[in-house]
Amino acid sequence: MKVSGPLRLGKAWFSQAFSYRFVRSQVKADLPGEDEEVVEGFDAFTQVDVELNDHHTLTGTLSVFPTKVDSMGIDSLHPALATPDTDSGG
Amino acid sequence: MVGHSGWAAVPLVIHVQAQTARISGAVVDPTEHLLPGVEVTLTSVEGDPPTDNAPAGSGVASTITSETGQFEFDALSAGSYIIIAELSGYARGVHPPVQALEGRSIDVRLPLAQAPLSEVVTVVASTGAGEPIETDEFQVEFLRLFQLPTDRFQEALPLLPGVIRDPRGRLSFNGTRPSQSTLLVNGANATDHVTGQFAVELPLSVIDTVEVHAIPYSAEFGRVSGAVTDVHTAAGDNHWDLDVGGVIPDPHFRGGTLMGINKATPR
Repeated sequence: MKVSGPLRLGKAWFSQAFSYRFVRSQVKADLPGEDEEVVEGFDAFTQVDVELNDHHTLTGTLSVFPTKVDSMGIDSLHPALATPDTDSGG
Repeated sequence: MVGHSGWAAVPLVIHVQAQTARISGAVVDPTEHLLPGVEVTLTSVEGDPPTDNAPAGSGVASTITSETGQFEFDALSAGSYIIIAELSGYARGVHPPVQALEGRSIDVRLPLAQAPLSEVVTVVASTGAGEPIETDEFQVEFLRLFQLPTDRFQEALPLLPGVIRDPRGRLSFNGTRPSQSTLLVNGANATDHVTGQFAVELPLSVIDTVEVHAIPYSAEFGRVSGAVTDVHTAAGDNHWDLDVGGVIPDPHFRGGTLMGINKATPR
């Protein structure tokens, strides 16, 4: 979802976006235990632009993106027990 | 003795320095870089008003911008002038009328927008040996409207020239790995210093442009042997905008039984 618009007409603007991601990828193989990689993440992005003068614009951005992956890189040669679960972000 | 008297004619010459007007300025691209080699034409408004399609060089004076993108018109009569700038690859730039006054100098800045691309992509289907069985043409403007087949900009990068995905699913830029390349977001380095991979995730809707510079050995970027992926985010403007997409999840079936959600990417 993205919302953008003016904070002050002709002078300052903002843009705010969110996205959520849940993706399940199943391995087409007869694996012991789990047979799918699951990626779950949330991304948020904020941008504020302020026009200082005719030639200069001040831009501030903030991005947050925590991501969790279960059975990362699972495939027919790497079953769930041999794959890591990761929890990353920034 | 001969007398002589009378008026001697002494020529009196008065030099009147006519005061002239001067118009100078610079031509810049959308990123405010100065553009050399632009044909700049000055056209008087009082005479024959220029038409929108009047060719460059048909005005009262014409010049080419210098290496620093500057131009200058000297010894002008006072009056109102229109400045027209033309350069291949850019849309024609027309500066609104400026009023030149005697003894005054006017400095203007004329931005040129990128010209819209007009190439046509031709797709031909054939049997491989015989005549083409079907041909279709797409304007580039139309192709831009295609929906990206992904919700992550990294996954769409192989659509760009010089970027492929290897058999293990890793991106390859110009024949190198992502760890040999750099990701810039609004000019800031967003590469993970430990893994060398891209360190940020961005919602697709905030991305304005993605450009892959396949020539990394430039003074502008440097410190990279692969390519530079340059991402610019979209700023808000004076209009309110709400964009919602991907709200319907894909179901996950296993053995014909609904087992939950397979993919959900609301954004």
